[in-house]
Amino acid sequence: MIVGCIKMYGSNILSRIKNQYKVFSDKPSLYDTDEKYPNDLISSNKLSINVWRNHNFEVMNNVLNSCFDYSGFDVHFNLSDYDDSFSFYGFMESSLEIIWINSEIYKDRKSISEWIDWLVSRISELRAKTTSPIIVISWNAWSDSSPYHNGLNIPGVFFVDLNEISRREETILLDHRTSKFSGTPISRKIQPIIARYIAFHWVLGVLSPPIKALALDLDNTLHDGVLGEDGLAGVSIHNGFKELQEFCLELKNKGIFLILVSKNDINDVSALFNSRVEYPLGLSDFSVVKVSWDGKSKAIMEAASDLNIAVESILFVDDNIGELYSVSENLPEVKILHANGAIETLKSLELYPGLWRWQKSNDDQLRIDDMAANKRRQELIGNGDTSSYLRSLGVSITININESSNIARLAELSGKTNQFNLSILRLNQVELVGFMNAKFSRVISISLEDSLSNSGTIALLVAEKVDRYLIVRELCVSCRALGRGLETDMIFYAIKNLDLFYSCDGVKFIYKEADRNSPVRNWLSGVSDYSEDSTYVLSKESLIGYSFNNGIVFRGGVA
Amino acid sequence: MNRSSVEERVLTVISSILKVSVDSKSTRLDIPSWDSLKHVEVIFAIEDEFDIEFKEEILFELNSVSEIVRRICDEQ
Repeated sequence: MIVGCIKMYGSNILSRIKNQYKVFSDKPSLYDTDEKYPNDLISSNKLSINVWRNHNFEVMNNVLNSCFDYSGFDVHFNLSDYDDSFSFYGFMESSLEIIWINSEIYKDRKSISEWIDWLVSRISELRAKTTSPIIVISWNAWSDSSPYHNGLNIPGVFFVDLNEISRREETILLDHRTSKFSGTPISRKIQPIIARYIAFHWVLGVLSPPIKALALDLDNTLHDGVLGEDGLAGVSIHNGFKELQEFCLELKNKGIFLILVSKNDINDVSALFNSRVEYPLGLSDFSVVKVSWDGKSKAIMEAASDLNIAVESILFVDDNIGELYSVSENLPEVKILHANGAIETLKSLELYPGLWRWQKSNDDQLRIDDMAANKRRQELIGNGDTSSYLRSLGVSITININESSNIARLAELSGKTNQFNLSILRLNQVELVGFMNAKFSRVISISLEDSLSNSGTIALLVAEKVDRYLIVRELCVSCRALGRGLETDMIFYAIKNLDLFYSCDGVKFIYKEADRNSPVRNWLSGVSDYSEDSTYVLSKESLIGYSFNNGIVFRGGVA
Repeated sequence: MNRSSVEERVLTVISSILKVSVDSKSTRLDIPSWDSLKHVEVIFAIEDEFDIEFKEEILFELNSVSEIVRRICDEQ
């Protein structure tokens, strides 16, 4: 079928689909014998990754390269020599550090607790050299009943226990028969599986932008059959479609928006979801429903606008190659996945880069409800005055200063926010901790709640006192908190509650223009006293004289 | 399976991994791309192809097409 479509759809889309089959295959191959398909992604991001190791890593090269190529990343691994002491000799700056460590080597000379202490000391040594994220990949060689990293929580350091992967994949982890020969005790059966996790989950879970929404076709994608032809009774969720829908529901609960993009009659689709109680997904689980006979590119663009997200953060899943082709032609930034059977689609989604993240915060779960509440807020605004409206909603804004327990969410805000992002610094956990620990800087988190939803932590402000000014280095407000007219109140309240502010003459916002952050510039133009180049200045008097909206309840503050 | 049939399949596997043509007399010394990393790939691919597991002590001795073919025939 694929080959037959080449002339009709061109080679790009088919290359991408062939690559999809290859990298998500049931049995990925370790060997470099497969046909290479050109990557048609519009951009390729270069990454340099240091791998500090005491056993063979490059046996996984072929799978790693295929996976990164499919994801649009050109990755160069700087492999260290085999070094059991992990001295990090010859360190050079990179995007990411991987510690690939065979724990068995230490088993006879150290207890597990001694080894952990030693490992933490080596991580600290590496951390002193770089602020890049560190991924530690090893296993508990003393006992496979608990992960070696139990209780370890170091900002910017991510731990993987391969015993857990072995259990989950039901594949043996170690093979001592081949260890001397291959340079690693990791069994060759699990090597390609681990390689895929390294690329799609562990590395790109730190370094790639997240997928924010799944745009899902219905017929032969979420269920078996064609609703318009087979009728309500003719479609089913047998053969893995139930599990696929359950997984989509899990993604929704983790904060990924679901969009239904189907060429059908809306009455048929409503009747389907109302009558088929065995469907794990209900129509209300979709944040946007686009059921019509219009083109799917148009539907996806409208959904992106409704959700206030960029089209490049959307993954479109459809069984129809023509639809995938059409969307990729009109919206080349949209990621596409061919739904080639429920089981295969589920496997692909489980691994898909950008859908898996290291941290799962409460804020992820709040996101979906919050976006739904936004629609109701817009309706409530009506023509009434803003204060009464905010009071009626019971809006409360809470600020926390140097809240280290929330570091993962703050790094996520810096990493993900595009529209209201002052300087696109993309601060990671370690860099944020650095600002928290410095004498003349503060990291402020802002949370938002009203009677419709708890939005959780929706803004981050990083400020530093330099001479007589408070310099705002970074300011990010999540897109789901925009459009309520609360930006000025929350940001000014946060600044006024900083001890550093009162010994300053004013505040300077250092703006750095990027592709999509004009909203923050527009806001600055409206509130600042004057600007010089890209620095917007607000005097102390202006800020102190600002009248806060009396419909808002403010909480927290004072460092 | 006879020896020539084994040899034919071994040559196919090795040449597809090394991406050079090999013959029944080829050894690791003759082929620069047959380095230690590729050698691991070659041996594991051979094991997959013939659904066998070489004994640990002979893994380091499989340095030529003829030796690999001989050991496969011994296993069968």
